[in-house]
Amino acid sequence: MLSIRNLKVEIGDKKILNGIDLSVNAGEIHAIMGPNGSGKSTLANVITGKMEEDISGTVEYQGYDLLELDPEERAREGIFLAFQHPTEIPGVNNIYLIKAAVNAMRKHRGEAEVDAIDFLKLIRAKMKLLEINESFLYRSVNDGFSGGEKKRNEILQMLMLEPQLALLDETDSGLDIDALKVVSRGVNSLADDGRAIIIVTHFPRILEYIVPDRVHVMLNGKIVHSGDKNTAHDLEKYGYTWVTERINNPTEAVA
Amino acid sequence: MRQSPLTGHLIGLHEELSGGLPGAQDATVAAMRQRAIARLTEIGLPKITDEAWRYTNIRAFDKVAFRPTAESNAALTKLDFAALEIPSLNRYRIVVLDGWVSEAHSTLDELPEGLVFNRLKNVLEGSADSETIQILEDRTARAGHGFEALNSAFAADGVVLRLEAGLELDKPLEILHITQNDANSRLANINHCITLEKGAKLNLIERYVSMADTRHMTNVSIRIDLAESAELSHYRIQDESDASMHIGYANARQNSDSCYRIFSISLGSLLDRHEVRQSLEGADAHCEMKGLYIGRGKQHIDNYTTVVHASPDASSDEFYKGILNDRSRAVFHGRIRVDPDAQHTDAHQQNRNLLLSTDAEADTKPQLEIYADDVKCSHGATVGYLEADAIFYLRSRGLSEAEARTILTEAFAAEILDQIELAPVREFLLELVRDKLVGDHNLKEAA
Repeated sequence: MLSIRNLKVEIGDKKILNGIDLSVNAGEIHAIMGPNGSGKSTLANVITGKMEEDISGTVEYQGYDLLELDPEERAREGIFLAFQHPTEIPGVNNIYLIKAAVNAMRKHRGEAEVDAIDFLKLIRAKMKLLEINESFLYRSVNDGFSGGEKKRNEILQMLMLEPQLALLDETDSGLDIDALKVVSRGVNSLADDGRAIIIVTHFPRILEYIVPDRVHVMLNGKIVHSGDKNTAHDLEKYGYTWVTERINNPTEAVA
Repeated sequence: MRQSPLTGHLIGLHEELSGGLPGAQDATVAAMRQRAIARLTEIGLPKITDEAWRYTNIRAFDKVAFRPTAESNAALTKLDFAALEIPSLNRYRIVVLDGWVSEAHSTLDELPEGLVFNRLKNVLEGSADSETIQILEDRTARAGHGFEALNSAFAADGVVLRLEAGLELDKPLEILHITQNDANSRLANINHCITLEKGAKLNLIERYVSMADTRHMTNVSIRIDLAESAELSHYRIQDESDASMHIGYANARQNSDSCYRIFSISLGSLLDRHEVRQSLEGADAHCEMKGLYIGRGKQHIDNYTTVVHASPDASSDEFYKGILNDRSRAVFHGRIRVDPDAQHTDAHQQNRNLLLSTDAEADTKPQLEIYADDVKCSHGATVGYLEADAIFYLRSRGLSEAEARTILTEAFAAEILDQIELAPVREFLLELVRDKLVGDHNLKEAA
């Protein structure tokens, strides 16, 4: 589904991404872990189109050269980003945005606008799953939302848009354990054989609830290690220094 | 000082036309007009060297041979009044056509008892209401600028309205000003006087339209008096020809416990200057001044507001927003004066400008003068572009950049319009503003 080859982002002489290679297939859940400043969010920004300059390498998505598409074209082709810091948009009401977004996707697929009653039924079901109050719909997008409300709103949008490739950028940060469980339930409800999910995080905790097929560790703009779900446990146990040491002494096995 | 060509033209015109104006034979009225033209001769029309007109230059109109038209009593069959209706608004209507109250197109016979209506024309001809003539006279003496003197000098017609104590009008009253399309350079000098006696309540819609893109001038004064506990909601909707000049000034006096809300919506005219001079002269009076202006092309919109707190425990809340595209320019001047006796004043002012083009400009100037010590006052002003993060957020949800910009711009305007309680007026304005924004250049990306 997604194939990234030798992706580099250099701003001036600062290397932010330093040759990323990553393949994600339909049906897979990947986690990208790394400390602050390792380039995780930049990678998400390149995939969604927030960052459009200073990029080299290739990003192929479902046969498209992704870097050639505008952000809205990427969204309509099924890419969704749950933002780390969702933008507050005073004056635009939440249900209006979600409906406009759903209709933008439908239009792209050549479908008619969503029926108002079907839309309300569906969104209410998703809100129930995410334990969101109805008043949420009629507030301005993220305006005055708490951190947790913002994150739930991102997941609500994701469930309504049903993306092929969902990127979750630090969706777990700022969530208490109950909220994390609710949000994870929402994400798991989306996962199926046809979709892929990439979870960007620096804490392993969320991976107890959304179990990844592959875990990649990023340091200084590079994926320095890729492993199965146990990688997350190792990171929890030994910290990122473990990975650094592993790179420096590639022959030594980990106990 | 050398007179501007326009000032000279208008003074000459007065000499030619004053003998035919209503009440010309009445000595009081004639004397009032003479003093007004003398005042205009003395101060001239505003120049950018006048501090209050520093950012607003009327020179583009210097060579226009503005001229008032004579009253025509014929009902206009060619004018499509249905197209001028605010949809689903049930209202009383007074039509002002090229500066003259058109009885034929107004619903005067529907006006309820307790609402006393007169035309300024009748007042001038009959000297029946010396109080109203005194208002014109007073204004001449204090004329802040030449347009006020001009208005008194050519005073011909307008709506003189009194709501008797306790009357709550069951429907809004719309004063619809129409400039016809069959001639250029029409000059309408209009004087309205609206008085609400104790406890009276009124929704007033003051609306301006042009039937074609002609270069006309509207020079309008509206004088508002609110007695104790009176309530006025005032919707000014200025959507005249994009080539016209509109000069408007509302002088409002409020007595104790009265409430005045004005929504000043500026959409039309090449040059629009709107002054609100609010005087809170009774304890616990409250006023809300909300404004929305939209500039396109080379439009120039100047809101010049003054709130004087002359009595204790009164509150004022002023919030103006502007959306400026192309090469348009806006000026906002917000003066708040709190007199020494006006303790416990609560006065707030905000002006926010959204630039849709790098060639657009907004000049905003708050001016607070506070002479009392126990007050709550605040002010704030911003000028900025659409937020890149918000645009990206919407695009990441599948909306095009143009859609994203439109949604965000409409949301900016809606913050003012959503506060309008009269639903038909609110919906009408949301639609009108949408048309203005989507109609032309908004979908282009700002360079």
